[in-house]
Amino acid sequence: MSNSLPDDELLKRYLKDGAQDAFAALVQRHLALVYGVALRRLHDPTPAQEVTQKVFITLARQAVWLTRHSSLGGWLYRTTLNLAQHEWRADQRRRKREEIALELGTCMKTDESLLSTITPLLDEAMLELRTADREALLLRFFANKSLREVGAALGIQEDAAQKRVSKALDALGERFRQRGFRVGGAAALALALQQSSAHAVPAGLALSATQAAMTAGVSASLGGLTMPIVKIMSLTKIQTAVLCVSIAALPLGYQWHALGNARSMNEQFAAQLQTLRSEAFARERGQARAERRLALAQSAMSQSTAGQRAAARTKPSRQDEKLYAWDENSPYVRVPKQVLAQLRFAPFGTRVRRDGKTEQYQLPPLAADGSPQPPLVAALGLSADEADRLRALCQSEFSQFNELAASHSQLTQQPFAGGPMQSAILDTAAFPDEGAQFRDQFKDQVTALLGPERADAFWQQDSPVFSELFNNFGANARKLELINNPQQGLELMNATAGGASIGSLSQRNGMPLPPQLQAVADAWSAPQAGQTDQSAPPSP
Amino acid sequence: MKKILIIAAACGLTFCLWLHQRHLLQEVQVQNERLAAAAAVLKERVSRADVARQTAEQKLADLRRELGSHKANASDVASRDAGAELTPPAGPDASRQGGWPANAAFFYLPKQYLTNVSYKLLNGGQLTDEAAALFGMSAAEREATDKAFDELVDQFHRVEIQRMEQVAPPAGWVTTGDSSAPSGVQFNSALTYHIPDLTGDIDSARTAFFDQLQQTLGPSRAQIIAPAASSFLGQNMDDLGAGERTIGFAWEPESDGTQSLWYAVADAVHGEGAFQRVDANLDPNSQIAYYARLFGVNVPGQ
Repeated sequence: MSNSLPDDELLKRYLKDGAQDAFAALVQRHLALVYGVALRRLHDPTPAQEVTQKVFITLARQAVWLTRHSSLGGWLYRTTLNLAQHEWRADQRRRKREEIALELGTCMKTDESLLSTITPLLDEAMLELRTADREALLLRFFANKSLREVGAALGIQEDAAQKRVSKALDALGERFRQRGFRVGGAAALALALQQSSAHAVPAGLALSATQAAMTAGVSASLGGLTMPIVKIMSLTKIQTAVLCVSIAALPLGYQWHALGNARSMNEQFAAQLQTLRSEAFARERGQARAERRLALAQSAMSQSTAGQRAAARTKPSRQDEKLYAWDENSPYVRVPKQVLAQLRFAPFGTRVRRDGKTEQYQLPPLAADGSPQPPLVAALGLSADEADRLRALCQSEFSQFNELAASHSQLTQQPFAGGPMQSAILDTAAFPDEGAQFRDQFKDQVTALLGPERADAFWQQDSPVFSELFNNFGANARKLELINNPQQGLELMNATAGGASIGSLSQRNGMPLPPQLQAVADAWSAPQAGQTDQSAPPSP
Repeated sequence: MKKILIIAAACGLTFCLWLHQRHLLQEVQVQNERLAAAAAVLKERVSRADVARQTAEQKLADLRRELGSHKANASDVASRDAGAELTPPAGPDASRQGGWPANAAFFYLPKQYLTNVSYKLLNGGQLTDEAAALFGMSAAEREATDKAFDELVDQFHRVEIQRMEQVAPPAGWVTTGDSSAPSGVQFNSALTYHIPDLTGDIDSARTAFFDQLQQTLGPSRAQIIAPAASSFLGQNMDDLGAGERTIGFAWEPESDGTQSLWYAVADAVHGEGAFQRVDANLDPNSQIAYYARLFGVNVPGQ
């Protein structure tokens, strides 16, 4: 069966299955050619046999790369020549050429003498032929194929094969003629070629060549890796393209599918969430409304129960409603004192937000010099005299406190964090005892002026100022660092034992700075100070 | 050899594409996990709200029955209280800008200073006691104002829910080892929504609200409250969705294996991203708490 297979199929079988019978068939098929060429080059059967074995060992080793070779016979022919040349020393070849040269042009050779003369140069002349011509001659005369078989092997018709053989013989004859040989016609040359290839192959050479190739361990290397390489090498361009697409398509397709699923799930979740959000929103609104109705009912219940009314008073009663009812004709409103803690009385300023819109912020109830702002004065119901006395008292106390704080402070100016920006640091030590004494005296004076109820209200309204500006009357050490930031404007870092914060001066909502720092701020950038604060406190 | 090289190149390219797709897949899968968690939270809230509503309605029914039995008694108490409080209150003293009557439960404030008073206008979707008291609102006026505001918020939130779209976190919000993140914090995942400018959608509801305010309280009070309401809406409800925003919650992995929750917003005011850590002290009536509920994000301690 192996004998009927073409060369490439035999090679593939050998590579894929390690089939020795396939390789043996190849050896059998080309042994005469290889041995004949070797013997012709070496003139000695022993080295010719060695070369023959080497050729088939080489075939076994390079079988991977030969499955797609157009003509195995051609490859074997060339390889045999190469290996034979290694066996035959160059000097011996030169000597033979010299001997031949002596005979050039001296006489017309007979066909017999022609054979003996041209044999040493036959292979060189064969190598000079075009590949197609050489293949035709190899098949016709070295492999002893009929013209039909030659045509089949070359993929041409029989008569075309005949023409190619004739043309190749003519070309070969021309090569010899160029070298000075006087050769006869194509028929004579064909006869000479047939004779030159008709070497009796020694018995057992096929077996020994096959075994040599097998025992060279070549077949052992033709394992799992070789066959895929062979298959890849034997692919057509389209098959290669299909393989590439398959390689890419399988993992990427699977992943694409997973990604599609995940995205689809994502969309489903988004839709589900949309529904759920609407549902949750509606249900929770319903819950809030039910709870609101419940709260109203509970309020009504508490009001209807004697003795619980005053304690559970969260909303004005009907009598309160009358007392506090809005009177369009009155310039005043009555405000329950119990909500005073939730109200802040001070004018508003405006500033520009990052998005270009303006926003309002409320200024402190006491101005930088301590003067109570008009809304606070009005809320406390001060007479003009009381307002003057309170203003004088606050200004005096502010002045005194600033002196007291200054005596515990140290102002230094230095580059901020060692960089190009300037900074001024006001380091104030804690003075809790002196501060508490000052606070108590201040509080007593306010109480004496306003009475306890309004004094409490005054103190409660002004607590942010006392906390921020007076640092809770010196209760803790504090470090204020004013930074001249060319990009952001003036910034203030406030560091206490509890932590540090930094922010733009414009974000302080008009809260004054200690006088020492204010002087530095004015000196650094007077225009920036009024840039964001666009409103002045309204006059009463 | 050329074919082997071509196939090797195809393998390499495939591997690169596979890695890229794997990254995308992981991102979507993390998003899906977040969304699934959000859906679970929302479902739980729906059922919880149902239970709470039923409970409140049951209690309400019980209270109404009880209220009926107390009606006669309450009516007697009211008559006695009315008699006691009918004493005329101290009038305003013009020399003291109204004054501070020592024995009264109130003080006078000139109306001109009502615009110089800061107060919390609304809490939990309702007018605060101080706001109602400051403007001398009756129970009916207060209820009508509450209802008007409730409808505005309801309308706004409905539109917002309709228009919001879940989106991938903006660039830099979720980072892995990128020190240039705008937050300065390394978040490993985020759940983000884009809300377009809702001005056009909400304008009619806003106008209706201010009309209702004027109708309920009259022009003088409405004129004072309207800016306060606008300011409240601006500070607490993104001015009813004026300007497109991207808002979301991001999770920061902690060294102990837990995750911290951050609220993030990107808009014209906050730029590419303003981040605020969400802790257990979050006001349940705040905007952050509202969005956490809306997105189905569990807030620590709530």
